Amino acid sequence: MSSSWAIGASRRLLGGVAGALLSLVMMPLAAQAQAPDQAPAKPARQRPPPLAVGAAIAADGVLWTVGLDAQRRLVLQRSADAGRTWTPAQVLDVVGDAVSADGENRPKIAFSPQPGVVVVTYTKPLPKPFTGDVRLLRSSDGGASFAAPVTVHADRSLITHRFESILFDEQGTLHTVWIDKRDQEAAKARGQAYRGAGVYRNESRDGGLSFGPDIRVADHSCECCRIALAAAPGGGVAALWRHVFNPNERDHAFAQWSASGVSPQPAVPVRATLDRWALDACPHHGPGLAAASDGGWHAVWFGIHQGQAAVRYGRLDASGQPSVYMPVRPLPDPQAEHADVAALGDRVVVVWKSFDGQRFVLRAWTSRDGGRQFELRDLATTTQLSDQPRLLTHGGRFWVVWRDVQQTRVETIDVP
Amino acid sequence: MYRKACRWFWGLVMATSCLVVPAQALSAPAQLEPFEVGTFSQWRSSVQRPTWVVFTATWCAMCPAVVSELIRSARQHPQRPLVWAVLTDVAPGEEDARFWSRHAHLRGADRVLGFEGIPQAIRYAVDPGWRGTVPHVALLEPGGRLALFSGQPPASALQR
Repeated sequence: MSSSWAIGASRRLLGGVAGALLSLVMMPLAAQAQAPDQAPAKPARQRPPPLAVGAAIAADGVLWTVGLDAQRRLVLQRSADAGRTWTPAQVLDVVGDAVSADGENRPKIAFSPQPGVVVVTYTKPLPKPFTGDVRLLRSSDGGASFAAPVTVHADRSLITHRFESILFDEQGTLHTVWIDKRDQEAAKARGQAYRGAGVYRNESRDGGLSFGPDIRVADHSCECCRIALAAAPGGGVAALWRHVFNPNERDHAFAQWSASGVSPQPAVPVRATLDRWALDACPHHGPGLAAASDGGWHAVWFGIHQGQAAVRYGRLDASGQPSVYMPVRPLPDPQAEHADVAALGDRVVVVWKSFDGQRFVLRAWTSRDGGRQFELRDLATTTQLSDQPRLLTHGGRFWVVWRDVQQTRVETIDVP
Repeated sequence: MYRKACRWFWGLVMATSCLVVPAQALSAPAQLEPFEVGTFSQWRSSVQRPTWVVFTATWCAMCPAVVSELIRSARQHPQRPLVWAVLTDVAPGEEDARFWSRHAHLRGADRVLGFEGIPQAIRYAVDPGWRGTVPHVALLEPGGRLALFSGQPPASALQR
């Protein structure tokens, strides 16, 4: 073997090895640089549509639901026989909006006392993470047709306006309440800390045609839990939401207001629960609220109190503070989640779902005496993915709407 | 001449190997791995070194900071624990072209997975007391030891 052949072979070997090593170096770097582009423009697999539905019962007793169908279109369905049969889905034109429909942030539907006026709201997610706008569709012909969607709030910043709740009060004023991060963003711009987000609201006195100014209800709400709204006896609205009390206690706050014309009075939030759950995380688990016959309120909420995670039921006094007369009680189901509450006089119903490791169970707790004593009932089960239960009242009965991947169940509950 | 070439060759090997390791450490996961009902118990019995498992969600505004802090503290820890991120609301294959740029904080994790199956069933298998709060964080240690945290783990846990 000549030395010149050896040198040539060494050079070829060096070149090959060096090339291979450089490839080793560059491959991960290339992967790093290209990772966002390696994901296909369209996902390989379509995410199943979220199941969350909004539900309401019209004056004629027909149940309406609004949610996403398999093609992710926003659709209305109606049932005149308590869920046994449904009308074909009516696709609502949202002019290309994406629609949030997870359990805490479902589309909603509400009926005005003004005949024929129906509104549907939803959160439209925006391109920046955690941002969105509250949008509203309005019908003045009993749902036969809907006008193009409009944005409900005056603020048009690319921030969170999400997790809206809506309610028509007895006078026909439409109240919209939502989670809003304008004050968090402003604080950030000033270099100041700000706990959580804010709660804002506005009013429409013409059934959703136009809206009054955005009004701050409270600073320092939790960022991603549903807001419970309830009609106040004699008019007005009450709200219960998860709040971030100083420094990081994710309890609940309550505020009440009346439709207030040109110069709305500010609502004054009060602390409604005392779990003292210190947490820097997102529970994604909002409360429920209903007016009690004695002027106070029924409330249900999830929290961790003294190390015990539970959904709890409690009574609030007329101002929204915890009742000193009735103790807070955990629901009789350690796996309970996403409870809702409704009341008709002294009759009270709490519904929730729980997962026992194999199946979901829809349960109800019923009371005839304003929440002093309750009886437990199992209403339905499924092994399928399911939405949170929605509790309604109509015709002296309680109605539970519970959607899974195969059907929307309706259970009626009589509390004699 | 031949010896000189060999010295140059091995110098190149050493220099290149120094570049390869950090380049691999920086590389992003190309796609989500599946996290199924049985995955957590399998991990719990098989991890060979301390491993942080952080359950997160794309809607969770508080999660990116917690994930980033876990990654930062793991890199500074002498035992170099692993950090595995699990998305509770995105399944493998559901991520689109914008996913990794919208959730850039996940790219520092050693593995990124997505729930494959019914979320409540998976959560129950991880921790029956977990009702969906995120971030939900588990520290797995060899021998099956487990610590669970809601939100940011305390500094004492990060440093132990």
